[in-house]
Amino acid sequence: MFTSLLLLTAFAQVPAQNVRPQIGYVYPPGGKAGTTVEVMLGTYDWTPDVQILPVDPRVKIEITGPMGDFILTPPPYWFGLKAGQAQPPLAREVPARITLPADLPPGPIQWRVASANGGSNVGTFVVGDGAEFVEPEQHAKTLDLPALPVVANGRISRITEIDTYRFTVADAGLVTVQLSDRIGQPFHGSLTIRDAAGKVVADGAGTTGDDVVLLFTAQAGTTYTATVTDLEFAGDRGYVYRLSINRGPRVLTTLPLVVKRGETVPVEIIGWGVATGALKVETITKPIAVPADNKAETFLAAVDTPAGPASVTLALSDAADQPEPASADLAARQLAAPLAISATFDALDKASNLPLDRYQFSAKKGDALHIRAEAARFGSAVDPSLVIVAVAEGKEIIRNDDLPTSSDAAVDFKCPADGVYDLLVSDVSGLAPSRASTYRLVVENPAEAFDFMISALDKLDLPLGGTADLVVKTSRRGVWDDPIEIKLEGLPAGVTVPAEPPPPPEPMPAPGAKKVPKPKKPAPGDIKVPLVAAADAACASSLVTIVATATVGDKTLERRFGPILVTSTLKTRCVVKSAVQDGGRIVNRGTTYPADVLLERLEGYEGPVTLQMAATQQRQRRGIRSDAIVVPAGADRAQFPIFTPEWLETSLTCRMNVVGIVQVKDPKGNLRYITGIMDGLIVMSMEGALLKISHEPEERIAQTGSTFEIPVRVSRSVKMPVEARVELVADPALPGLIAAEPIVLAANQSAATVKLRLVDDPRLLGRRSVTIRATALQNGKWPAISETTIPLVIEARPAVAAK
Amino acid sequence: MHNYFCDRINRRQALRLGSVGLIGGLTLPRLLELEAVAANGRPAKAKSVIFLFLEGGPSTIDMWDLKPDAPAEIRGPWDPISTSVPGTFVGEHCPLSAKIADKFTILRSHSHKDNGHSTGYHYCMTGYKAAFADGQAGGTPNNLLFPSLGSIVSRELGPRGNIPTYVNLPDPMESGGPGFYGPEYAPFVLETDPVQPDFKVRDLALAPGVTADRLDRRRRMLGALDKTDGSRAAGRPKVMSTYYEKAYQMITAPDARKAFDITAESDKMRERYGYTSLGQCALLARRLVEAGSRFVGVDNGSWDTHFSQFPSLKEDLIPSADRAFSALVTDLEDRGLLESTLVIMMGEMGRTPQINNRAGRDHWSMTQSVLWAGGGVKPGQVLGATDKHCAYPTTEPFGVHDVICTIFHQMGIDTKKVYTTPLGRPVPICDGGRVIPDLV
Repeated sequence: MFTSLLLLTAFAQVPAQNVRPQIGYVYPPGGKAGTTVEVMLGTYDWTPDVQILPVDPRVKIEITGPMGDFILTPPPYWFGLKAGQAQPPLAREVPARITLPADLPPGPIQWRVASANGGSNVGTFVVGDGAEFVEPEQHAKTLDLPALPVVANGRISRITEIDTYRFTVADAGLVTVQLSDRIGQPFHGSLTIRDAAGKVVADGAGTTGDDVVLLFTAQAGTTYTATVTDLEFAGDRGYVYRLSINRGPRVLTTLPLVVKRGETVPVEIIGWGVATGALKVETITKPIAVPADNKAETFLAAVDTPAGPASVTLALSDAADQPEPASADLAARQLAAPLAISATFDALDKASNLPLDRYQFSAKKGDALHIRAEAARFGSAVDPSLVIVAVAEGKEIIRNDDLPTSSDAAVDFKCPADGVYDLLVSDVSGLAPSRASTYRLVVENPAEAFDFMISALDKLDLPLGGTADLVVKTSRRGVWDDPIEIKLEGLPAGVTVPAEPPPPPEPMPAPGAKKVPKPKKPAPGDIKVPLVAAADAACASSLVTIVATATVGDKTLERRFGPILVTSTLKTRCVVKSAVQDGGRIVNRGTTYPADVLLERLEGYEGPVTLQMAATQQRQRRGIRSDAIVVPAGADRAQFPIFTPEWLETSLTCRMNVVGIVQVKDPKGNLRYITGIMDGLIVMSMEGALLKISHEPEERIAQTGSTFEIPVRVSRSVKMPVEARVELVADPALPGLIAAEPIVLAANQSAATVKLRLVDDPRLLGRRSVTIRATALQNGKWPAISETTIPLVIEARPAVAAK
Repeated sequence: MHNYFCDRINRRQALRLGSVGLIGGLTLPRLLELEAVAANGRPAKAKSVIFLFLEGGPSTIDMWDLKPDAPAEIRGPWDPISTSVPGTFVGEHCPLSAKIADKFTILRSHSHKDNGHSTGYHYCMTGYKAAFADGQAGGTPNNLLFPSLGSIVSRELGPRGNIPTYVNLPDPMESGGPGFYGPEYAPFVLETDPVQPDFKVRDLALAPGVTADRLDRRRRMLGALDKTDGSRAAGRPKVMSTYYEKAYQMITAPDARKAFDITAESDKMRERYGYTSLGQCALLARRLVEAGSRFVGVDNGSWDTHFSQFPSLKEDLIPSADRAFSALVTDLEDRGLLESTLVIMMGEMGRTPQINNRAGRDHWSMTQSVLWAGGGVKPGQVLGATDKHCAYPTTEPFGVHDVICTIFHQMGIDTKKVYTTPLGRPVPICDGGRVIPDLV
């Protein structure tokens, strides 16, 4: 009876699922427009059949080679409290070539991947317009950069890594150094600039989710260094970054923020050193002409400043913004809809001593106004807040600080009584008042307003022969209730919007649950677009754009949203389950643990299943590794070998997450690699090692062109009474320069002398270390490994006296 | 040139002994004073405690309190077996303990209401409820205010020789810190596993290249510095000087090195305890109390068996605990140490009677069996009982305070004693509780 109880619970505890491919990073993370860049794509759980989809069709991304093995994060590792910190997934890198057309504007471009397992997250690659430098894998402590302006592409690939770049500023003046640390696996970058004497001239860290931007005044012909680290000295191969170094002014914002198409307007340019090149926020005013036929949302204008060239981004509209009244007198700050003001918090409000602007308006009972303060879309750091106060009563009527998806503020005011009302706009970001603290105040009459926005999730997977709803969220401005028509552009082959929507699926209880969930009511404003994937189609994916149209009277508005990655998938064919989970089995560190795993095949699949590490692992994953194995057809359990390095902590359990992969053909005969998640994890309780190699700590000085002996001791537990092999671990940094013959120690031997042969090569000179490894087979099959690293000073062989 | 040799061990590190540098030694006058206090009307039956802590919550319904008549989803897959005490039964995977059931007592009605791991650990080790949410503690130790059992014992009884008074094996116990008592009463921590073939306590040896004479010269130089610099006579420098002095005593005396040298034990003895972390820590604990340690806490993890628990319990966890406990008790008895050494095995909680739908058992603090041996407790008993599902005690329940009170009682520690925190808060060393009747 109990056996049946266990069998009943052995499977189907979590829903069977595919493991979607994920994008980790691109290295180098950027390149110059008009070039072809050879990169490595950091991939998580990719299969050979992934399809790459650049969002900009002008960009080409081609895979140029096979996928590499898992890249295990190398030492050093954290122990103790920090060991449990979340870490990025383990990547496998794929070589690829990215072709960038010459007319690409600078900035990030996005890309996705998809397979029969589903669609990915968004990947980023940054397009530059100047010189690019790439940090090589192996390099000297300090890297020299070419002349400014330059962008260094680098990464903090391991814990405690510090990247140091040296650059020379030819002309005196303002220098901007910008660290973009969220273009791969996001990290908290720390940036320090030092002068030639080592004195810190600027430093900062990315603690707010934005790039780190430092400015300093450089001396002509002076060399500086920029050091980049993670704020906590963390590291990962996915911690890629771009370090941009430019000489010249830095534009922060403009007034007005929005200009009218087809007009030439004087624009106040606000930024660091824009007037004199000094290290302070300055302003200059320049006329900027906007073409009438520019239909884009923004306009990039090049301007010459006294301190050098700069570029300015302006938002475009069909109406011009008004300037903020110069006077603080409320008589001069009366509002009447419709109205848009480009304003700034450049002084503290005298009454409140806060960055606060006061406006006033009169309204009659029942009047409605929509008022909003915008800052985010202009890149302003201002966090606006709106409050409306009835002047006669001194009573607050309405207030808003943040919108659901933005730190901007908006209120829909319904006038409670005839009277005068104060509108208080304040900045709650904590910034000191500055001309650069810009915002845009918009006042509209809802009865006259007609506008709407749409949004949706950025991806949707649906199985072949199945359905899924694409939920389009709409938000309307104004009081109109006319229908919004939705169309989808670019659906993948085989995926359609049926003329008659299919009936909603019957609600099913979750695994292990008894109650059938109630169907969720759609949220107000949600439009469900049913999609159907034909059962006989090939798996396909594409980037889809939602086109929404609404007409009120004689006015029609169109809004587009996208891209949305829509992918038709194949259902998973397997579930992998660990035979032992919580508590796990006792595993000695440094050994190979053959974990028992159970396998369930689904959807009629009966063939072999490949088991391999999943990209996403858990805590204490430091060097834990497994090779892929194939479970033959018919077998429903297997031993999955996991190597646990000797340095793992015994106070923490270790875990392994495994993915099952099967090969099947889709209805059109295309070979697909279908993944299946692991139900639970393999858990290991770590105990001390069974095999240890050690050396006596002493001073060792060797000479090039000679043989040098190092005695080592191999200790074995009584649980491992077997022979051990002792060998030198090759150092990739010293290829072929040090060698040693392997030694086999019988079970009753513990001492060995490793004889190093050092090539007569000056590359060996200095402080070096060699790593000696001992390997023994547990149960004649599973390797136990211990290594010891021995410091060595290598000196030049004395010259032979000439005869 | 020499800075980078010796595996980067520098002069300062040569004096930094003990990975946390916290050795519970005291001066002879203080020791004599403490022993006088300990003898204050309560003859101590136990000189030392070995506290085997099965972290995560052992499934005592599968080990010490089986319910063969319960439904399958409660009783589990295993049968009870008879023991050397007629009428007493334990789980079939505890055969070694079954053979020596006459040498220990099972308290089956231990019960409390803290179902969290870190909070339960804190409660069991200090007798005070944690002020943090489960899982939210800042690290090890998480008992930043209230001293742990071992620290209290260390403070009340002081050292016996040049051996750490309070030791944690193999890792720091999560709530094993000294709290407001300060680092003087913190545990000596190995942070290495005695099951390893190359096990040794790194900090008890002189640094390579440093001779005893050289170390002595350094010590005298430090002493001269202390005399000439008045600021070093108080505050942190004084605390550090205390550490240095204790470290010096340990490193120059052979007792500690000898006690920690587990390789001095025969293979047969090591095998008797089991070549598991718990087994070898138990053996090392025996060596340490033999040498003079007062409180040795052994932290053994992985008992939090929510999912598919039976393979790991059967193959690893229960056999290792069964072997370690039985070997420890019999070995102590063989050496005449059992009467003076109190051995306790427990976790922060038990586990649910109901096997969940993933073939595991969840947290359940309402019932847990606690094993007691030596130190003056009456052996061969089963105290207390639980209901037909092992869900609740059916006899008088005994809680954490009662366990702590009984430990202190057996050690001759005045359970009514109160210390005051630096901010003036009085903290009794025992927050209530009573000596468990019939146990002693």
